[in-house]
Amino acid sequence: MKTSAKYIAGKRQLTLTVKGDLLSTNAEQRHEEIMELLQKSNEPREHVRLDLGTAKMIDSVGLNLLLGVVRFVREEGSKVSLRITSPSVNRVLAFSQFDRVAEIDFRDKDAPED
Amino acid sequence: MSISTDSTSHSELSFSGHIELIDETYSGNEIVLIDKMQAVWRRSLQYALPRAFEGRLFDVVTCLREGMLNALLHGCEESAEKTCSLLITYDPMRRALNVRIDDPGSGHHFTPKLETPEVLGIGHTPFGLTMIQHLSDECKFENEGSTLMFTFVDKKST
Repeated sequence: MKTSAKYIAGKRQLTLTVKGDLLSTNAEQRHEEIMELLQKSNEPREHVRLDLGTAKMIDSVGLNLLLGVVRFVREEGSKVSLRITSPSVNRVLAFSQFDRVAEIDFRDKDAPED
Repeated sequence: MSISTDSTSHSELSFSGHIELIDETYSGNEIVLIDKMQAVWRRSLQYALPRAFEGRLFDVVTCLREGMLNALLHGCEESAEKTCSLLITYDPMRRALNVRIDDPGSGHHFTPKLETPEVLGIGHTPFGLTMIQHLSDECKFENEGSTLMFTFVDKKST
């Protein structure tokens, strides 16, 4: 599994770390992994953070995967944020106006965590 | 539409005098190899133009992937009997990378500069071509959409 989960009780935050690029050839598998982790997690959450820090690129199928996940999380009433480090991924999210549905945390991969 | 896979005819058509970097023909059923193709394109571009397009290499690769997936899936219908071609050239005068993808499909009615996708309502809309338009510096269609051409200009070097 290329996706892992970490829950921070104090922040009521579930972080899902997705390894690698989000592409047409792996989007279905990544989507299944993310949804499985979201549904397995019983802790109360207000914020789901998707860590895509190792993704260098995303294609249109990968973008649709993200949209599906964001919709699911928003419908359950949680806030969504994306951590990205790739300028290319950032440009794709920017022109598709992804910041209207999720907070985009774009920073250099070596920058310190909050 | 007939596809020319001859590099000379391509060059004469659009990219006369440019340096040819990649000239390949793929069958529709090779769509399953898209990740391998992508790795070859990326390595070839890094090798041929090591200092160019710094910070935009993955934009170029994303556009190549989207353009070729569109050609293999829709133009060639994933058939072993149908082929599409990819030509990548470099114009040293403009410091521009030119990409041309030809497929045997009947084209499509893609509206140039499609409105920015509304993410809340996009659903599973395929918008790979919109990605190409936004990421590249120039993008156009010919032959009623069965020929896709896009350009990246190395702005840092100019």
